[in-house]
Amino acid sequence: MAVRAQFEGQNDVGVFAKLTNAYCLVAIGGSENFYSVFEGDLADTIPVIHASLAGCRIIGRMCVGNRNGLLVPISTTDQELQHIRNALPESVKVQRIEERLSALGNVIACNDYVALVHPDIDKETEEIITDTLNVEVFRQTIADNVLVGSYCALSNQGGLVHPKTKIEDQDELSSLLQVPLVAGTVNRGSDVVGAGLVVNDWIAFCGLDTTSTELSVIESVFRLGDAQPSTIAKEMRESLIDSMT
Amino acid sequence: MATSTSSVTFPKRVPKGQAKKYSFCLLYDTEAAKEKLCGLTIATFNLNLNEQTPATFSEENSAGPDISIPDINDLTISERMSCNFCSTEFTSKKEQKDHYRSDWHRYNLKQRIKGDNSVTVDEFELIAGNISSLSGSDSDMDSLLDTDTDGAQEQKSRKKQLRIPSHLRILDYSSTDSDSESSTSRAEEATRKLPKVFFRNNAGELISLYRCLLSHRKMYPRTNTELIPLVTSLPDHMTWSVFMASGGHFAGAVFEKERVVVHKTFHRYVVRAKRGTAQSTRDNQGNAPKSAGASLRRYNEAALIQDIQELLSNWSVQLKQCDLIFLYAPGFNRQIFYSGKNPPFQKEDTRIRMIPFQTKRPTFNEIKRVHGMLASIESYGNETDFQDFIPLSPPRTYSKEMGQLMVVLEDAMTPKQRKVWNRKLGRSPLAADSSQPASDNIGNQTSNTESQTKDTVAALVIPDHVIDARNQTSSCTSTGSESELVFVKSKLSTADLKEFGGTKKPKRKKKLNRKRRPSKHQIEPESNICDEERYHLKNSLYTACKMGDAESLKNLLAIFNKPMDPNLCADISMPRSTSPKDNSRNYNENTNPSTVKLDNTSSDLKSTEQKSVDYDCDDVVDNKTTDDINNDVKTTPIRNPLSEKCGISMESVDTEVVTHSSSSKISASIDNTGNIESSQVVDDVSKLDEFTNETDNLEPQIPIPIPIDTWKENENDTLEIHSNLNDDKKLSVGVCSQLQDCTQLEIRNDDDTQNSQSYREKIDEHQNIQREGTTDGLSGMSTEKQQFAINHFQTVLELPSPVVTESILNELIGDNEITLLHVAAKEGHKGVICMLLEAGADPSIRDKMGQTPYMVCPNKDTRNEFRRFQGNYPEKYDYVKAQIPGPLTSEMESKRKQKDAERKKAQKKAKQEQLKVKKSVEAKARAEEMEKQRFLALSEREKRALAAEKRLVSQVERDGGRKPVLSRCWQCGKDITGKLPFEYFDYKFCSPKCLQAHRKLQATKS
Repeated sequence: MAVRAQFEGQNDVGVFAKLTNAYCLVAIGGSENFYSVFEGDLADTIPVIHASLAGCRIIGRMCVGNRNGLLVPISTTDQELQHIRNALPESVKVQRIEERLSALGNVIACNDYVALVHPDIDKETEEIITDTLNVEVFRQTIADNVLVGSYCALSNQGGLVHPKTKIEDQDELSSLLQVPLVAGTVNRGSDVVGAGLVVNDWIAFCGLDTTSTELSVIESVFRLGDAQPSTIAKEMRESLIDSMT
Repeated sequence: MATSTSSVTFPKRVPKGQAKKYSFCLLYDTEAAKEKLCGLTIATFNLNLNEQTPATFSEENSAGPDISIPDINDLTISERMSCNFCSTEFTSKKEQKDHYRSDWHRYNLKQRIKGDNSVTVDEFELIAGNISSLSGSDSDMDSLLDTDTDGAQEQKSRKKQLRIPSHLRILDYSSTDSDSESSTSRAEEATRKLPKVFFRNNAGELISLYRCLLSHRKMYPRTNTELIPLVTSLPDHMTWSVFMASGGHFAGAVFEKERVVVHKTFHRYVVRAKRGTAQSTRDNQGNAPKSAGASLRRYNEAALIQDIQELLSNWSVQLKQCDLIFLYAPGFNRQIFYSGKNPPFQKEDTRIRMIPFQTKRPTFNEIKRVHGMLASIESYGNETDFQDFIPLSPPRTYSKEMGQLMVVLEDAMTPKQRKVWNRKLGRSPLAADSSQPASDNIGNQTSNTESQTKDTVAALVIPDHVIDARNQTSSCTSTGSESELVFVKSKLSTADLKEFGGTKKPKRKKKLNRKRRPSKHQIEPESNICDEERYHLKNSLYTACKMGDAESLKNLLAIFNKPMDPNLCADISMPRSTSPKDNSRNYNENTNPSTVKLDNTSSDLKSTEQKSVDYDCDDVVDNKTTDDINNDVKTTPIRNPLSEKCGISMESVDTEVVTHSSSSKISASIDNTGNIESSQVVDDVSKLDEFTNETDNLEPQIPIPIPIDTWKENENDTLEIHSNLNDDKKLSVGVCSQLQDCTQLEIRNDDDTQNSQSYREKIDEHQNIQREGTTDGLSGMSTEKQQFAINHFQTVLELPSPVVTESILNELIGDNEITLLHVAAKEGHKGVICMLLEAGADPSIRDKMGQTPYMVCPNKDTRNEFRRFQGNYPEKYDYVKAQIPGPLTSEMESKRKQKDAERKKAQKKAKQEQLKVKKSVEAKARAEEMEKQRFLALSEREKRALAAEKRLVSQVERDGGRKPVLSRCWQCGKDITGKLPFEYFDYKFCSPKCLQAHRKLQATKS
């Protein structure tokens, strides 16, 4: 299922929200509209948390995370960090990292298994990412852009990348990520897919301007058609049982 | 390294290089130009260059926005394991992952981001050498590469090697690909970005022209080859104009070939110094500043636009003939040329071209430079030398002396050196290029420069440290050549010096300027007596209002109360000063004769009669009215001995009592008549004597119109009596009722002799005229009466009365356009306000600030005055307009007062109660205190006894028994068990009263 939403008139929902399989962070905003969209779709499965980072509402671009952990920039205040820690499930590790490229959401793109990072990111940061998020880290660019987090949206099912990504690059990324990739746009032609879209394994939120074509591309590449948390579990169980027998 | 990388880092930019040979010729040198321009072809490298621009930007490869919805089944995970940066393939997943962790991959990644090409693994081995690992961050990388290890050195050289071939590779690739149609068109588009077009002429020279000369941007030919006919026709169309406007400077010129047809420059202050931003731009950001400077700039901007547009409309004939118009007008300056009612230029005009290079401040010199630049055909030598780069043309400046462009050789100085050089010369680079050919434009062209400039040229070649020394000498010579310094010994004397003589006095100018000019209301009118009187009246009214002088105001307002009485009008219009005493003096000075006006109409007379009816001479009135009245003459005061007692009218007189503000007036007029008497013709004098006799005789017959006590009731000391004589003459006689201070009058008379003398002369003239005119009519009249009549007539003629109406009360005063009511209200003079309102001053008139008198009141009392008036006269004025909230009647006031009183009463009561409570509390505390003191004063034994007593009582009580009585008052027998007794000797009492009584009793007993 893909849902359209808008944050105070802005279509870049990826800027104001962070969605993973284990939790969802939503920026503190003037209106509750945006929050309630998330709340309505997610509340019975994962916690939806009001948060700010370093006093900013652009939390989607400031932090990065998956179901294993959450990384926040060093500028996050203790209070904010404590609030997030309290709201998140026990299993999710929260880590503050000291990184020159502090907009972690822009420089890191990840799902639960793989992370693509900015080529200039610190070695220490790379290690922290590996440890906290339990992912393999690859330094990459997307369509010659170093801001991998901005220009791609990843889930465990698939990925949407910058519309001008070359086919060979797509191939390379796909083989790295082990998910199918599609080059596309969101929000009526916006190429910053990472900022225009938040996605996890069963739901995606994109801007209100997103065309139906874009929406159907998103639904198909992220396999959101019939995806529900329960079906995923069933699938997993089946495969698990398969492998055990 | 910096230059070499830049060409690679920004591959979109066209590589440029120095031409080995450079020369230029101007289009208006027709012969030379035609020679240069014959047999043109497009330079081949034009095409070559085009391809490399999009080389890295291969759009065909990119996926583009994928519109087709991918089928889920189509979505596959790629099996191809490769790294596109390093151009390697992997056999296993693990290999791939390891590769991504390797330094090689990281290095290639960085190279790719920089725009460099990736290196193979072998090359990388060489570069990295023994360096084990490359850190992720940029800075680390650079420091690593900059270390002076052998490996790094090698890597640097390797890098250079790598770059050059890669560069060539791009070119090769593009040249092989150039046959495709689409790429050529794209190529042309790319080269179109260059300001110049390059051609090859017959001689195989590479020449360039500014693109803007050939065609307008919007109608540019599709292919470069179409440009050639445009170029060859150029020398025949050389009527150009150049306009530049920026930062408040404007320069414009029309050229016909090299000749300047017309030119003009303007400068206005429109941009704030050192801050920038034209005022209009600043204003458009909202919150436009109101400072003096801002308005100055605003004005100047408008003026500049107007100047320029006027100029251009004057030049319209020349402009029409122009083949090309070059324009430089950044930002707000555009509107100068394109806006307005009839804009000088149309936006659609294809002749208009922008100047395609940097220009300096718009000056005439700059205009000439720009023109020269545009008109030059630059040639760079053999075309075959330029295959992969564009030749750069060296900067050129316009030399004033030479009147032509001169090439500046770039390598003579680096920009930094030039800056330093300019500073050393003590000139800003700006000044340098605007004044005369600056140091840098001289270059190596030594052939036609003066000896002085040769010096500087020489200095150019010398290294920096030598320049320093040279510079001093050269600057010395430059100044020394113009004027020689001579030492002169002279003696200076200080003997003639005065103290402070040389010191400059502080400027007074400002103060003088600030001196307020009196407003037109304050200027005393001089021309017209009437105006003067009016002015004085106004003045005194104002003073009275301002000072709250109700007394004088009342006198002044009396005019308006009796507007029908012309006498009064005149009389009251006289006073200049406020106090009544002064008034009297003024009367003497200004208006000796107290009479004022003649009323020739019978109706007026009737009105006076009607008034006179009030008094007790009704019987006479009939007589008078029956007669034909020709002249209506008023008060001629005469010295009448009888007047000391009471007001007397002549026989059969219609009297009218008029109030006067002062007594002295009459006395003065009496004096006047005295004069008249003395200077009169002999027979007249005799007649007058007769007259006085007559009046003496008449005395008993004359009815006394008003008893003396009534006069006293009037505040005024004098009476003026209008008397109508039987023989058609109305004679009013002003009589002094109580000449208490005769001496004073005498003195005044002395003062006034001069005045009266002058009057006298006038009177004589009039008398003569009057006599001629009236003798016939007055034949039957007694001479003395005639005399009086004449006198009256004269005085009346002499004093025109100002038109005094109520409007004077509502006239606006001063710069703030206030009314008298405003003045009074502001000062809070309640009595004055009331009087003014009653007299007709309108409270709804607003002053300049839009305030009504009600609004300027300082306190509630004053405001209530207005409201009270409204209560009394609810219809008189527009009270809504006057902002008066509502009437205040006495009823309301009394109610209010009652309420206030009640409230006060209640307050008082509450206060008293409070006080009572307080007092009782205090009393209690005091009693307690006393008790305490008494207790403390007891001896130990007594205290113990008391305590035991209390204990006993409490115990008994606890046991449920009746309270035992252990001790009683000796006097009254009251139970004082457990209490501190008052005692003397062994007696104990409940209170000091009992004690006292007992003691007294004892005393009497003993």
